[in-house]
Amino acid sequence: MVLKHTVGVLLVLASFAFTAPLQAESSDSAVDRLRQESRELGEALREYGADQKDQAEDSINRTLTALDKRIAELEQELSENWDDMSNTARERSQDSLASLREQRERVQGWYNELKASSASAWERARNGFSDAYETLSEQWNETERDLTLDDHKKSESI
Amino acid sequence: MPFSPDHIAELNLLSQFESSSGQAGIKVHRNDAAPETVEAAERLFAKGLITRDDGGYLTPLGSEAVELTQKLQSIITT
Repeated sequence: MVLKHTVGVLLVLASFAFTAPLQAESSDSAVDRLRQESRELGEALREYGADQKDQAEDSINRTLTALDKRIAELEQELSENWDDMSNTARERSQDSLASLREQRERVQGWYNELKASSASAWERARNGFSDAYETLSEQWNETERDLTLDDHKKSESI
Repeated sequence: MPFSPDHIAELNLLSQFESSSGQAGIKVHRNDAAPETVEAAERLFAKGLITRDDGGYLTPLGSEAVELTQKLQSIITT
């Protein structure tokens, strides 16, 4: 197949972030609470029916707002640590945050779809949102790991 | 109205997504991919079907397009 040679397929397969035990890389209890909330939302999403649209939107809104706040915190932490970081660490952290923002934007697209969906289109929108949210959650955990790793390296070098 | 070569390139690129679920993304490597594939990715991005101009993930509209593409492919290959 011609395209096989021309298109590199980057597999970003879901690793079932919600069913696998999440490692707690931060002692910050607020982050741990958000992880728990995020995991619960991931599990609940699969079950919400069209008649629970309002409830689903409330839960999603709450968790996404908290996640946005955490993303802003991570950006702030990166900014504060910038001068002490190596170029490699800077690049990795920036890439990781960029991927996180991309996934967040993608989730927003599906959230808008979900809010606008009729009862008949609910299942499709819910599944799309759920898949996008799962990938976002996975990327969030990765970004937390990346930035925590940089913190550890920095403290070791002091 | 017949499919244009551009449409065919876009359909072929959409068919590279493993499913419409959106859990797998693709990347079109500009240096290695055929020019028509690179351009197809740019057009799909401009139309709001994928999240990046070199691939990325399917948007809700892109997901619907992949579902329809798969359906069409299934119909015309049986």
